[in-house]
Amino acid sequence: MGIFVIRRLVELVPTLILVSILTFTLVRLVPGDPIDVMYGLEGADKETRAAMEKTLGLDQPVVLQYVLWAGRMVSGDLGFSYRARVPVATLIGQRLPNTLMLVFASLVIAVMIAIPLGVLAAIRRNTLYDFGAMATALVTLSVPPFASGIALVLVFGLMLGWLPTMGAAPPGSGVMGTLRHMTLPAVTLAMGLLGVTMRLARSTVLEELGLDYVRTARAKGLAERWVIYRHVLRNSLLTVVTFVGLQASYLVGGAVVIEVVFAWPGVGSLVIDAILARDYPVVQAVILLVAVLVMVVSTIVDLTYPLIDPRVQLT
Amino acid sequence: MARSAVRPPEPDTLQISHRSRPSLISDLLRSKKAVISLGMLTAVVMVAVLAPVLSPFDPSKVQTGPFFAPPSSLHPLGADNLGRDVLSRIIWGSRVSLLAGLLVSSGALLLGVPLGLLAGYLGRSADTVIMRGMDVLFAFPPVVMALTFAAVIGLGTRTVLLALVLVYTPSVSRVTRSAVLGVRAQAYIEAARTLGQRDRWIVLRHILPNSLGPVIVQATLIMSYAILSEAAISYLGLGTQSPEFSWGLMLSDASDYMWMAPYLALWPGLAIMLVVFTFNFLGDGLRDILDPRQRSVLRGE
Repeated sequence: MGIFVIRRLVELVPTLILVSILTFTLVRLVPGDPIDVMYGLEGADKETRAAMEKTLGLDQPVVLQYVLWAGRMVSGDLGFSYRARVPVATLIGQRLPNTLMLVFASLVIAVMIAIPLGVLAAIRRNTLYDFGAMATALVTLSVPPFASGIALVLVFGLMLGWLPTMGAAPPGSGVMGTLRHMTLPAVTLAMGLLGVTMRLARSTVLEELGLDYVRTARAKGLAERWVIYRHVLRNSLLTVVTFVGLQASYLVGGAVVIEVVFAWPGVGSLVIDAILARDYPVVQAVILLVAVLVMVVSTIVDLTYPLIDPRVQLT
Repeated sequence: MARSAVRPPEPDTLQISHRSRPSLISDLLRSKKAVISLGMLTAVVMVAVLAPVLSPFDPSKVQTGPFFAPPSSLHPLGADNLGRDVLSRIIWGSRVSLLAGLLVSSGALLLGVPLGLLAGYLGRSADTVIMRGMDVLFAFPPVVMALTFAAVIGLGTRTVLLALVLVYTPSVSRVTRSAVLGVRAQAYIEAARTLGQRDRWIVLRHILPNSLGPVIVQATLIMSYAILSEAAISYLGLGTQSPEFSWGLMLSDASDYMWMAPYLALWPGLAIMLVVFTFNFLGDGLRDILDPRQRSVLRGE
């Protein structure tokens, strides 16, 4: 197990390096140099420009610039925001917990609702319930998450006035306050995951139900409930859990949009403001952070296989 | 509780497995899902193509009626904050959405299929290099990649489409690769190789056609993802820019006036849903036809 974990982590390194090169290159391709962007329309005079080039390391060869930049990123120095005039790490530090909280909450909501509904659809296949559940799943798959967000704001925020629709809870509003503020954005983000998880849970369970060992279990007189709980679910949930874990990419990407809909102060709204303000150090750091997060989560999902399914050997 | 595990295979499954040359068209016509979704798709494509004829007003023309006019016989879907006809804007907006779906999935196919073929057929270091490269692209969520491109190249529909092609390429190459791996292990490939056929011939003549089923399903699904992503990015203000039309952009405008005219957000939302639903439904139908294993699972056999 230990060796496998280390090997997976080592395998991550080349991908991480490629991702960082891609991020670095993309932002380097921005038309106009960073000093022009920093000084805006007035522009910088020759001396200031030379001094800034030296400070920012722009007078060095590109490869060296990348190495220096990557070294700074690894050591936690994510650069300095042109606009907010504070270190990017500080900005991300303020915003990241909000995004992670939102992503985690929506993951919990999606899993708690979708897996039972999908499993039930498989057990009661070809009934009215199954048909209804799958039709609902297909519809939720087709609604853009931000549009359902707008609808929720309209109904629960503006018409009924039950829940806050903008921003996170102010400090000191307690657990209930936090939950109240988080409900609408988390439900919206979860909706995008609901349909696809339901369908997958259904098809995985169905596939498992058709296998020989299920027939054997039934033939030996095991109660259907036990067949489902002890055998079928145990074996089919692996696929579903893996799949949900791999949706980290969807959730983080979706969070960017949902944060804007609900003015949620996370990294998503941070990066959009940064793009519109051409605040490149922030853009670069957030994009790198998102890509790294997605890769790390996928690796963790890989590593959890044997916990759920002892048949999977970590070699 | 159903005991389908011991049920004999249904007659039509037997027919399919006995048929020597399955015809895609007759399969398509027999699948209700495929027929319904193809009908819906044809309708949407007609609306997009005939936009100049169908739309009652010039979609950019302001003050065709009162601001925020509610739905009426003159403006069946109402008028927006500048008095522009919403129906005309919805009709024209279908072009961007369909174009996004079509271009992104064709682009992803053009890049992803050859890469997946190479990785799957060559194996070894070619496989590792190609698939690691795909992992890198896969680490970027579609919206985030599009945002990066918007920052680098500038805002606009073209930028978004380019970014989406790149993020959806890995999923095509992965599906192609795994299909190729499945086909490559078949006895007839071994036979072709023993007969001394060239690699290129084997790949193009045998492996590619037999791997295409799952790839086509994936391409259909990419169309729906691409439409959703384009709408989301335009909603954020980083995709299609005014005065062009996009349903995402309409939703973005509408959300500013939500308390005055909630129906302004309703129409573009429904339009996106309908088109994405069509592609999802088509994908389901095609999967039923092209992927027999999935078909029997989904039917509960």
